[in-house]
Parts: sequence; structure tokens; C-alpha cells
Amino acid sequence: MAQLSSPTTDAMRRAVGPVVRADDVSLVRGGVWVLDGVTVRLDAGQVALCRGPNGAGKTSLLRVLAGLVRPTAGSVTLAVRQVDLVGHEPALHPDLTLAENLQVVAALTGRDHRDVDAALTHVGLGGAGGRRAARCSTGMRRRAEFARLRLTRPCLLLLDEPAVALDGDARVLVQDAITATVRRGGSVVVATHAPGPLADLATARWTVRDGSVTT
Amino acid sequence: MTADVMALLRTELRVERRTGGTLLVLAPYAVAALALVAITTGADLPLLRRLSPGLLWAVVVVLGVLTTMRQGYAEDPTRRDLLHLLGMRPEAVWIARVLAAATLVAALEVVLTVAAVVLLDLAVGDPLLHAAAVPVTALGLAALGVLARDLADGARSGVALVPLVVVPLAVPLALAPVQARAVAEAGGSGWTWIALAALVTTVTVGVGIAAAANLQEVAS
Amino acid sequence: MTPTARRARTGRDVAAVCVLAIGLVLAVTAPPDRLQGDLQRLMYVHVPAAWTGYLAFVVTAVASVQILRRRPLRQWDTLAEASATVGVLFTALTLATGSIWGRPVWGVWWTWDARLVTTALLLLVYLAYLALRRGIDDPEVRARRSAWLGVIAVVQLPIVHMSVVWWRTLHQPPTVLRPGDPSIDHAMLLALLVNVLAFTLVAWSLLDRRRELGVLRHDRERDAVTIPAGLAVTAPDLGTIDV
Repeated sequence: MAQLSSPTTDAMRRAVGPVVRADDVSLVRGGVWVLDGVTVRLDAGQVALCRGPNGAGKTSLLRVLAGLVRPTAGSVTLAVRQVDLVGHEPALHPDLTLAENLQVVAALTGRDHRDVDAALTHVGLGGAGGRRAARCSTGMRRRAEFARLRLTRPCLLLLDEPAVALDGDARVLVQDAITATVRRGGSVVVATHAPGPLADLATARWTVRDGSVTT
Repeated sequence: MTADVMALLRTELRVERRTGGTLLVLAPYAVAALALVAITTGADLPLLRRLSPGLLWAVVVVLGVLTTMRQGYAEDPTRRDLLHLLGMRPEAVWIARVLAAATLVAALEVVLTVAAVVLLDLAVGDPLLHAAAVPVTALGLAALGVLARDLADGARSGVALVPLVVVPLAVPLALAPVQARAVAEAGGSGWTWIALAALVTTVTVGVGIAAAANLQEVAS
Repeated sequence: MTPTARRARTGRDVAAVCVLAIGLVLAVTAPPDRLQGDLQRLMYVHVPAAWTGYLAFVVTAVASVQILRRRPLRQWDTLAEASATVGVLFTALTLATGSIWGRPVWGVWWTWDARLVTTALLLLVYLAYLALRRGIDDPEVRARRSAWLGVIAVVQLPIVHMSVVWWRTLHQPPTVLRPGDPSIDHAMLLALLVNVLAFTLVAWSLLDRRRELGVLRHDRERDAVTIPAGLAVTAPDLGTIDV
């Protein structure tokens, strides 16, 4: 198992308390019970691997933890400010270039264009920043999402099926993102039904089934 | 918050410049609408001259509402989620979206004014009154449109609902500049009417800001 | 429904019919208008319909505010919807009777008078309200969004009422709700007020029944939420695969 705990993160974990906590969270959407009495907690430096079949509620759980969806019942307590979620759809405007899309993020996070260039280079898109998102392949757009993480530097990183559309070279980006987050004292939740090498990074396992989560 | 609003507004305008979709298509369409009215009413210039202020502002409302239904940066749910995660408040996102739409509506109003002067022999009257009417009505129409869009988002026949909600409520915005001009021509002060339009705009913007965060709560 | 509630409802329905009957008698026996003659008796339908429509929209607005204040949807959302439906019905009736009355008096079925126009716009926006509700499946989203529209749309009411004062119009200025003594014959006023009461009771009955439907729907939607989403998805059944 990769060494993701260290004196720093252990100390942080003790001092800070959970990064995110869901207490008896239920979610009803469109007349369907998506989450049912979910209670989970995630401490600093933890990486939770969230598994479950289609329709189990993994995506909804991530969205609730991110604060994007208000639960119907229960509460979510978030102890950090910077949260990021890499979901199924890349958050890119098709008519803006990859660099321009990231510049929006940079403007809102106080970074500058050099950080944007560096981020794109880091994920292997150094030469593609000037290409419109619509003209990029799915894999390139996914990589751009990981470039974004280098700008947002989240303390809570939520990944929903992160390896989808990434080629072998690029899959290392997922591990890189997880490791970087943990090193800065943050936590990660990875929702996937095919963990592969990510299983080695996990320090906690959540199983989602029919709206319930077992840890 | 202001910096965030400006950053998003710049992005929206950049998207608009890049695609050119909204204004480049809508402006000619609006001019065509004016032309159609002229043709079907027999192209009687004195009659058209009299009707031109009303025609201008009617077309502004009916077509201006379409600018608010554009595919902007913040109109997509995934990107809106990202803005939320980046710490941008729903009210700030709403304001930026409205300002972007208002810019387009104002541009449309300018183009239509020129078209009406040329095609319908419109006499603009007091240029100050007209110049004041442009931003006030543009902002009001944009606010109504974006608010209606948020209410109808994802609803069946949502696309048709937005104009249906906006156009009746936008009547004061269309009426005010026309009446202001008529009153000024008769020797009175048209500014009362502009003030009325400003009131409608202010109330709409206020309601929109209040609704922005509230509606976000039930978004999935 | 409890027997007491059922009795109360029947009582109210009977009262509505009785008051309507009295109103009809008064409308027929009231003195004819000096200028318009018997034609003017349409006023005893047109004006109460308008008032009832306004009242219904005010109720929708109040219920909408309660929804935004996060009060129980079963009580307030059903009220908002039922009231808007009744409001649309009576406002349409207002426009129809107004048109029928206007044809012989003004010579046209419709005229671009401020009161008519603002009333027609009012109707359009509430039709949009009902269309919006019909287009959203999620009960929470539906309630919240239509509540905002319900609050916005009601702003038109004072405009509709004051339109005949603010703009020089063909339509009658306000006769009852205006500063000073009502400018109408007292026998006619009585007939008018009784019919207003009758229409209000009838509207209340309709609203009650419409709301009952809404509550049933609400309960059905709430009870349908028992199956977790995941159970709807199972492993694909591929049968035997021939190699």
C-alpha cells in the first residue's frame, strides 16, 4: 500500500477533525429515494474508495458531500473551503479553448496565466491549450479536468469514475491528483466500480447499495 | 464578489464574441421582423412613422427575450456546479448572467433603432430619453428573461414557457419608452415613464437576486 | 374526510347555491341602468367573476410565500395550485362576459383598453404558472419554482385594478373600491355585493375540490417514494451465450 500517511497528516487528522461528515443524510429526487440514512465521515489524509453498482447513489453521494445538492434530510458538515469534483461531464465550454476555460478557474481562484500554462503542461496538454474544447478528444477534455485540480488545489477531492476515457499514460494523473491532495492534508473520495490500481491508495472503503452506505 | 462577477461577465462576453451566435443571428432576424410589419401593413410611410416607436420596442421585447435563452458559460449545469465549487455565490452568478444578457439586448436595441430610423423613418425624439431607455429596458428584460429561464429550466415545454412568462411582464418596459417619447413630444416630461421602467427593472433584479440562492437549493 | 368536515362542506355548498339563487333574483329585479338598460345586468356576473379571480390569485400568492418560507407543501402547494386554477377560470369568465357585454355597448368584441389588456396579460401569466407546474415532475422543484412565479405574478393585480384610473380608458372607472362614496345605486350595489358573495362561495367550493385532488396527488407521489433507485437496476440477464 502506498505510504500516504505521515506524521504531518496524522497530526492534522487528530487536530482538525473530519474534513467532511454526513449525518443521516437522505435524498429524494424526482420522486425517487436516492440516498437513505447515510452516515459517513472522512478525516484528513483519508482516501475513501466508494464502490457500488449503477444507480446505487454514488454520484449523488459525491454531490451531496460537495455541497452541490441539499439533502432532503440529515446534514452535511464541511470543514474545508476548497472542494472540487471531477464528474462524468467535463465542465468546459465547447467554444472556449482549454486555456481559456482554465483561465476562468484561475480568475476565481486567484491564480494567473502562468499557473494555467503550467497546469496544462503537467497533464500533457502543454501544446493544446489553444485548442477549442469542442475540437478536443474526450481524453483531452478529461485531462483538462485534472489540470484544473492543480489550480483549485482542493482540500476535499471527489472523483466520479475518474479513469474513464483516460489512456494508460493519463491514468497516472488520477493517482497523482489523489497523492497531491493527501500531501496537502486533504481527503479524497473516489467513486468507481472498477478501482484497479486505485485500490492500493484507499484507506477506507465505502460500499453504496440501494441508497445506503456501509463503511 | 464584484471581481467574480466581472470575471464571469468577461467570460460570457468572450463566449459571445467567439460564437457570435446570439447577436449575429438575432439582430438580422429582428430587422426582418420590422421589415415584415412594414410590408404587410402596406408600407405606408406616414403610418409607419407614427407606429415606429411602438413597433421598435415591441420587437425589442419579443426578440430580446431570445437573447436570454442563449448557451452561455454559466447556463450549463455542470459549469454552474464548478462556479459553485469555486466559491462563487449564486447571486453573483445570476448577476453576471443578467449583465451579459443585458449587454446583448442593449446591442440589439441599438441595431433596431438604426433599422427603425432607416426602414420606418423613426424620429428618435429626445436622444437623452432614448439613451436612458436603452440600458434600463435592457437590464429589465434581461433580468426577467434569466429569472424566467431559471423557473422553466428543465420543465417540459420550458423553451416556450420563457417567452410566455416574460412578454406579459415586460409590457411596462416596452410601453415606457414609447410613452416617454409621446409625452416629451407633447411638451411634458417623459422621465416619469423612464422612472417607471427603472422601477420595474429594480424590482425584477431584486426578486431575481433573492430567488437565485433559493432556487439553487432544489437543484439536483 | 370526517363526517363533521363532510357536513361542513355540504353546508357550504348548499349556502353557495342559495346565495347564488338570491343573487340571481336580485340581479334580475334590480333597476336597469339609465344608459345601458338591461344589458348592464351582465355586470352582476362580470364584476363578481373579476373580484373572485383577483382573490384567488391573492390566495395563490399568500400560499406561495408560505412555500418559500418552507411550510408543509401538502397544505400550501396544493392550495396555491387549486387557487390559481380557480383564478384562471374566473378571469377567463371575466374576459368572456366583458367581451359579450362590450360588443353591443362599444360595438366591438375587444378593444385595446388598459383594463382589458392588463387583465388579459394577467390571465396569460397565470396560464404560464399552470403550464410550468405541469412541466415539472419533482414535487419540491415544482412547488418552489411555481411559488416564485406566484409571488411575481400577483404584482400585476394592483396594476390591473388601477389601470382604469391611471390611463384614460373606455372601461368603467372603479365604482366601489374608490375614494369617496360608491357611485352606484344602492339596490344595484346590494345585488352586486350578494353576487360577489355568491361567486366567492362557489369559488371556495371549486377550490376545495380541486385542492382535494392535489392532496391525493401529493400523497400518491409521497407514497411512491419507497423504492430506492438502485433496486430498479439489476444485473443484465444474458441467458446462455453460445460460443
